Amino acid sequence: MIHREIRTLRLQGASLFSSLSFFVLALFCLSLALGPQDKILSSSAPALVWILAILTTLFSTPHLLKNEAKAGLLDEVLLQPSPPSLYLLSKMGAEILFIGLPLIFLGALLSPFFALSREDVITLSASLLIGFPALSALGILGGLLTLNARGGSLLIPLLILPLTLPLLLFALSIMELTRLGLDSSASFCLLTSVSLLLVILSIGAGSWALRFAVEG
Amino acid sequence: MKHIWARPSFFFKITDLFLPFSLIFTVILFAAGLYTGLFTSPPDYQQGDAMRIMYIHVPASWMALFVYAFLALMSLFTLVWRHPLAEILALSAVPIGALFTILSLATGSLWGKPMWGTYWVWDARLTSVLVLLFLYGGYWALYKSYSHPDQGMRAASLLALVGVVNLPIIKGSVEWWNTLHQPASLTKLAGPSIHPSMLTPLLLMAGAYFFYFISVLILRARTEVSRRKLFVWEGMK
Repeated sequence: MIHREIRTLRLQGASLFSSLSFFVLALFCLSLALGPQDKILSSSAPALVWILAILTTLFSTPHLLKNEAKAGLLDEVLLQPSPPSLYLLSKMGAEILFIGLPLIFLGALLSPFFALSREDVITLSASLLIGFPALSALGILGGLLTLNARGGSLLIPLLILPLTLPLLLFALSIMELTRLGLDSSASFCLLTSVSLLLVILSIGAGSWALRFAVEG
Repeated sequence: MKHIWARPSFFFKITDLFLPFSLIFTVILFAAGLYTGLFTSPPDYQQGDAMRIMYIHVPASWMALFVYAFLALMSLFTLVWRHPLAEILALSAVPIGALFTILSLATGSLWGKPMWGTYWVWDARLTSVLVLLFLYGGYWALYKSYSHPDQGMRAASLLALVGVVNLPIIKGSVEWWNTLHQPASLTKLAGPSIHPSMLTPLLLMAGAYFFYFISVLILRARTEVSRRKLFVWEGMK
């Protein structure tokens, strides 16, 4: 199943490229707007990267879902013997591989521009790696909830951004602790647990939403 | 049109019994809470009379969280048992919860100006309460954006359930992060660190808010039930 998801995502290379380039370009625009002082840049870069990662998943995931719904694939998923949550999970896995990892890699690659130290980059990438599954799952949930809604994609930020609040708070507290040279393992544990909880909740709710969206 | 309301007569009978008591309690508790809070309780030794806004602010924050928990519970009932009463109660609770959240934010800002020197800081507690407001807003927007109310109800209920993850964050935000907002002084393991003379009006106000919520919830739900009955009746013509 995950093979199929990977294949569809590869076929949608153009939209993948556009969402990744959205990430990079928005990052550049924001840093341009902030000005060239190293101090401001390095202190705000983790926050910028996290927020842009959230926005990128929020905009790209529902788009991919909408295409599949248009092709009638979601009805197919419900007819299959395997549970719909498995389909959503494999979708999430493919997204982590094809959007998440490139995004983290790009974030790390661009870090010299933001005068980040090596530890900062490592913690930032680790926190993104932990948090990304939850972001992707939330994006899927948002896409499914608004599939039949009027003006669907405009609603998604309003619905999903509040739910990403715990991830953002814990991730940025990790960054702050590392910058101060303190032990951040407690925040890492909290981030991991919140991320897992969000994945479970949104995949569970997502399989319900999928059923509602298809059955109407 | 399918039968959307299980037993309205029962709900009306129950609430007929409850509503007068709840309204009376609201009035009495508000009067008692405001009187003790504004006149008989002593001023704070650091904050002076300005702390009296606490009797408005703190119970509003409690109720904002409580109403969200109630909304999530009703959403669960809606999804699992498809109970129409749960649907109606959830819908009726949303504006009240949003009102409590706004009240909490507004009074918090007013309290923050003399104490912290600013109306607003972007710290964990304030931001998470603001996010609570957006959760209420998102619920309502999602419900309204479906052309069929049943679909909207189910989507919004799912959202409300997932939104529960934010409740512990809001509750814990004062202890987990160093913020300007003072930590809770009532729900501590070691017992409340607040003098009884201030605790009494606070609890009275909390009771008043609670019964206000119950009364308005009942009134709104009854209106909604009648509206739906009218809708069914119009549909049958």
